[in-house]
Amino acid sequence: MATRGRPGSKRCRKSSKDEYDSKDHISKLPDELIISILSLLTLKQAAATSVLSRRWRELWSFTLRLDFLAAEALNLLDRLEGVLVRERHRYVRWVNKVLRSCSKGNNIEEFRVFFNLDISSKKSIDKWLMFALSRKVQRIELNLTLDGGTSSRRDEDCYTFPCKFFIPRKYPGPRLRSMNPCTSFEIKYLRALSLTFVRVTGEAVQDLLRNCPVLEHLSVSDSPDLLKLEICDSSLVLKRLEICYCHMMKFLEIRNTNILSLKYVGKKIDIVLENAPLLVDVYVGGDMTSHMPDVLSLLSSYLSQLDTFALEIRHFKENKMSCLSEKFDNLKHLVVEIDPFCDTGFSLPLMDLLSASPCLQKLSLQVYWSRGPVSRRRIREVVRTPHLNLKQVEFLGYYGNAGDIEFVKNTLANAPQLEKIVVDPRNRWYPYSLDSEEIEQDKATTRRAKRQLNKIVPPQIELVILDL
Amino acid sequence: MASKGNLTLKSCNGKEFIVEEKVAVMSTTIKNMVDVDDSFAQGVIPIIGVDGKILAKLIEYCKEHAEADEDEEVKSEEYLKKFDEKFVDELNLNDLYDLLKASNYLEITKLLNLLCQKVASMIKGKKPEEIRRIFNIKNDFTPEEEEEINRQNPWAF
Repeated sequence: MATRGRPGSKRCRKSSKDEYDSKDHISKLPDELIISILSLLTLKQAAATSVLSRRWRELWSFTLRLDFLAAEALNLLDRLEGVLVRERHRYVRWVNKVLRSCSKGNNIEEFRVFFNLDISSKKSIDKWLMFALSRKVQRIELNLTLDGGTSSRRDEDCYTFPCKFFIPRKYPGPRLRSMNPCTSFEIKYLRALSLTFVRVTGEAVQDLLRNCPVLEHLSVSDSPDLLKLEICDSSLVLKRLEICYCHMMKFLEIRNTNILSLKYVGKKIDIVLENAPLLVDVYVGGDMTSHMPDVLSLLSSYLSQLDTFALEIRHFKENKMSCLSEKFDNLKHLVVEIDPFCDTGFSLPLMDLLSASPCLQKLSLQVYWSRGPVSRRRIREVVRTPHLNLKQVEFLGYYGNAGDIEFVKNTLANAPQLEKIVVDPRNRWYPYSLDSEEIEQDKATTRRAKRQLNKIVPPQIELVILDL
Repeated sequence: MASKGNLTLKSCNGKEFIVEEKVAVMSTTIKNMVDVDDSFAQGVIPIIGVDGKILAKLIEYCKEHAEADEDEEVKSEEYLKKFDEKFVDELNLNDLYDLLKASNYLEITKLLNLLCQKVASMIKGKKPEEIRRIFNIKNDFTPEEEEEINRQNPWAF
């Protein structure tokens, strides 16, 4: 290493520092630290470190997170027809190959499968779950998405959740027993389980909750087998429950639980919610919110204890919040997702919600505008309903329609304590990646947002417009 | 000598720091020492293998985060996020390694996670050659071995 000439002792110090700098310190960190670092990377990135040097060759295979998300492949599938079967094979091969590399038996924290798979991959998925359980996994996510497919999936073609792995005594599987005569599956470490497009019945869910002693977070989406779910046991540790788009569901009962957070998205069903003293966070969406009076009467005895309330709503105009008689006395954060078909304005019903929430500090708004021409209707007069504690507003999906500007103006006029507005003009419809036309469109939206909002937001309020 | 509610921490090169107990016990290791043996609470706690410069950094971090735990109104999440960003941005590689080791030994979980995130972000999206250059990792594979690994490429989908 060349040392630039410096006189006397300084030169000595400098050169020794240079030497220190040029040493490979990262490889000298203890295994556990390098593994923690690698566990924060995607599987692909982590595994790619195996070529760095001998020291790194196998470290990645001890990763604590096995996250088999193949976003690129899914995205590609979205744009090509007829390659699904082939891509499914490749995905299964990939997972199998990685699992073979990770055969050293360390425990894992997270196991995630995220791909368009159905019953035809049952054997493989079963094996993966057994693998995860044998590693004392803490979080499992099985998302067998429809994304990338060109058609929907029949209910009977969905993968069925293998209860026998999780509760072997109750669901003895002959094949399994012969395979693993004395393996006890380690469900006692499972903290979170999330199933999407996986068939699971209400009874199975209830058994799971009873048998997994630390299962705190359970999420079931798009299960055609979930008809009725009763969670009525004060000894359960369940803290967060999410049920989304289970189209056959009829009835949900939650009674005497320590649940903190509840999310229901889907059609209108009968929900009983009784004695949930710790409930502070509620999310309601789907068709259920077309029946706002029912939602509010369901929550009526909890409104004052909530600190976060999220509402996903189709046609906000028809959903006037005037039925709101009680107040959200302690609500700190309100989240509203709107999917409007045309720009009739959403400020008014939103104002009703805001004025019922005197302590509100943060409002997050997500609007899913269709990407047509910008609506240039006349911007209505500001309505005065003060939100005295509101400090921060997040506006995702800003498009620059008259309704968007109207909302920002209303907020500015009514929130004297407002400190910050964050605006994200990006299109939220495409979760994986955008094509060049969509990127151009997002750029144009960003420019429009800057032009419109820099004019109306006063300088003392921090305005952040997220760029691509 | 530290007054009541304060602890004295001594680095391996003899520098002493008097810190509030709630700041010091952000470290699970120190918390366990104090809980088990009362004499630590009165006397000086030696922090083995951590020099004064790194210990000062650790204390700077714990001060911000300990106070936040007690009174959330004062320091918003956002403030702490900004503090964290600035904190890791100002570190050079050597300090980063030393802090990683120290926060691992002292079990300061929040800081350890933050530092691991920082290193991970330096690896993310980079080619092996770039990663080697950033961290001065010497490639000690023979060309044949390297080819073999690339052939197996266990990361390929």
